[in-house]
Amino acid sequence: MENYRSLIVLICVAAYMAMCIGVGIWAMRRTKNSHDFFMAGRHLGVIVAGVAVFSSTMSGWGFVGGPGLVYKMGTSSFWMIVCTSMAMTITFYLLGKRLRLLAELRDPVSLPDAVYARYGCRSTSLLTAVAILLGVMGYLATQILAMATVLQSILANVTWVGPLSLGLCVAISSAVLVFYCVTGGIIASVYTDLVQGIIMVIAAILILATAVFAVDGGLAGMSRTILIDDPEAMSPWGTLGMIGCLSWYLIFVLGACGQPHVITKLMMTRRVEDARHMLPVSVVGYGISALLWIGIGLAMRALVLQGIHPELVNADDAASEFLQTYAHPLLSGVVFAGLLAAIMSTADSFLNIGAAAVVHDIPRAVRGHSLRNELLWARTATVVIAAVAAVFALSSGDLVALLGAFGWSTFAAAIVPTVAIGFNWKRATPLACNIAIVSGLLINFGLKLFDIHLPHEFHGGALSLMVSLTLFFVVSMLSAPKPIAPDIESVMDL
Amino acid sequence: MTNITDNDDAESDPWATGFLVVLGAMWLLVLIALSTPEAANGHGIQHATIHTMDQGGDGSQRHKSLIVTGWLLGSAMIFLFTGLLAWGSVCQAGGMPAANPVQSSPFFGRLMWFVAGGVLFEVVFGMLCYSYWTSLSAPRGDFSGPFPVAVSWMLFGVWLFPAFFIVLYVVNFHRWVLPPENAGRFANLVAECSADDSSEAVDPQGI
Repeated sequence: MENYRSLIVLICVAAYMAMCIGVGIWAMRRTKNSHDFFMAGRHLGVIVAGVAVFSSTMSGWGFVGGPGLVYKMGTSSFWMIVCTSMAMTITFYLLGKRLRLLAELRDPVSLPDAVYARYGCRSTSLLTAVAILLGVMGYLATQILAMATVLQSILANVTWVGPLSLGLCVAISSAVLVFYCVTGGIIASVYTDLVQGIIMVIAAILILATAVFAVDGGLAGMSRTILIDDPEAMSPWGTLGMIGCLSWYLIFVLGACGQPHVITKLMMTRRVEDARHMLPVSVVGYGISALLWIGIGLAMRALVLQGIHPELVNADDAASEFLQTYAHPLLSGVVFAGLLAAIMSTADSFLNIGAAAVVHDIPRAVRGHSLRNELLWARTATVVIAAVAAVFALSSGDLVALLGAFGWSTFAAAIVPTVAIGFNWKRATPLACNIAIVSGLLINFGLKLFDIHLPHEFHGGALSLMVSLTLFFVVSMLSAPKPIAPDIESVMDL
Repeated sequence: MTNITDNDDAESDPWATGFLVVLGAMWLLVLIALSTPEAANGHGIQHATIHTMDQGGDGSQRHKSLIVTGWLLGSAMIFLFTGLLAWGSVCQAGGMPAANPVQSSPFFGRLMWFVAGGVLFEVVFGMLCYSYWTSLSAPRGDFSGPFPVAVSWMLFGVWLFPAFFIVLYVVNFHRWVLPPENAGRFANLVAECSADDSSEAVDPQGI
């Protein structure tokens, strides 16, 4: 039975990877220049772009780490889920139209390009690109490591393959990722995101149903079991406590409109009006896929408390143990494919914006012009960034986790003031942006490097976001306003 | 179109001042929270028998001195989020009327939707805090659906309430976000820029 289950899982995962390669080949024919490579030629429809937004947001961490957090901390991590409806709403209200108009007017190929158009300041564009590159390297390395770990655990159960080294699994999974990202750029990325998003939604619905049937009394039975053991674990704050949870709510709501791999997709749609329907598509898609997080997390905590399932060795094993023990083999296969999909859909976005930072944004900010034959260099940079991230993932131990955790908060502290506020507020100045970005980088890196934990587990990223936002407003108000290009000013008036 | 003009109409901005005030309030509340001594089980302790799990322990012990601060902090955050939505909506349609915003009925009407939404969202969050606080005296008490009442307020209230603002965005897109006259102005702007680009030397810096 175990072999049969493992074989089905392997077939599902192999079919998924073959699909990714197929999409890469298909997208290669549609990628004719660097604009297509980075911005999909602004040809995306509502569904494709909307699903790409939510599937890029839901990373592998959400699929693996999310249930693990519920198992470990009870309902605390629900705040990372419930925040998304408000987070995406704020993102679309502030940036949905604004970024798309700017994209049509100035044809930027990346977020730092748009920042340069708004502020007319190379140092602000450079700092944005550097912040993006630093965040990307950490995030990408953790995604590659997660991808390889999942593949390794799948292959370990297949007798005729046997256990493979982590390095080989990194090579296999990265090869598939790099293939479709190099050949098809962002076009391949968003179309694989579409398939990946659909897989995540289907997997989440089926898993929630499985979880409900796995525990006596369904969701209410899980709740009662957890509540009887520890009422706080089944309270709105879980075991983390109120202040920690509220700091998560702050960083994940406001920080969302600073995630470059998500907001660049707002510039890629066919029409400005597409934002209108992308918002509900993204929110509903994420909401459904998060049911896996809730379902598996609560079920595993309840099953272990009831003594039906042995204690997990590691909280992060919650998802894989649930799938191997309670899910139908075919469903396991779909969910493992969905898991790889969640990881890859985030990783491919990072690869793309990382390549843009290296071959387009940084050269442009430093030398005043981008590289010749940018498409070739973009493809080369995609391979190099993936290779560096893979080596980094395998060799740098704790530093990967450090930079991975650093990613979301860095993007939030650097990009929320500069882009989400500054693109709507004419008084914002480049100096204020630079100070906000640098302060965000320093605080986040300092907190992680020195392993500083704030009282009540207040999230360091929330603190850095508050600092950067406050500095941004104060410095903008105190510094001399910088003139804005008339066409950009006109866009800001619309 | 690459000429630069002075931005002289943004000297005073009540929205930015308002956001700074809210941020200031949040700083105050965060500092109060961080300086409040943390109970031993403040952010959870290892489960007594299952070592890979945490427990929260006595809720009243760890939250007694924080519940009001936490409620106010959460309320300030919701105020900030709703304010950003209202600001985004006002900015989207061409900015707040300069002369007397309150007497401008389209602006005022639009703002009222966000005020109403914000108040309702504050009520939802307030009910979450209140039901949690009352549950501390009867920890195995009331359920609402499959979850304890306070968790239901979180999942069905805090998670789903922003649907109100999503509906506003979808329904009013062509009035608040991209009115036809603005779409027309933008089309003219793009046409102007294209004409300029073809008649003038292109800026070597690109964008």
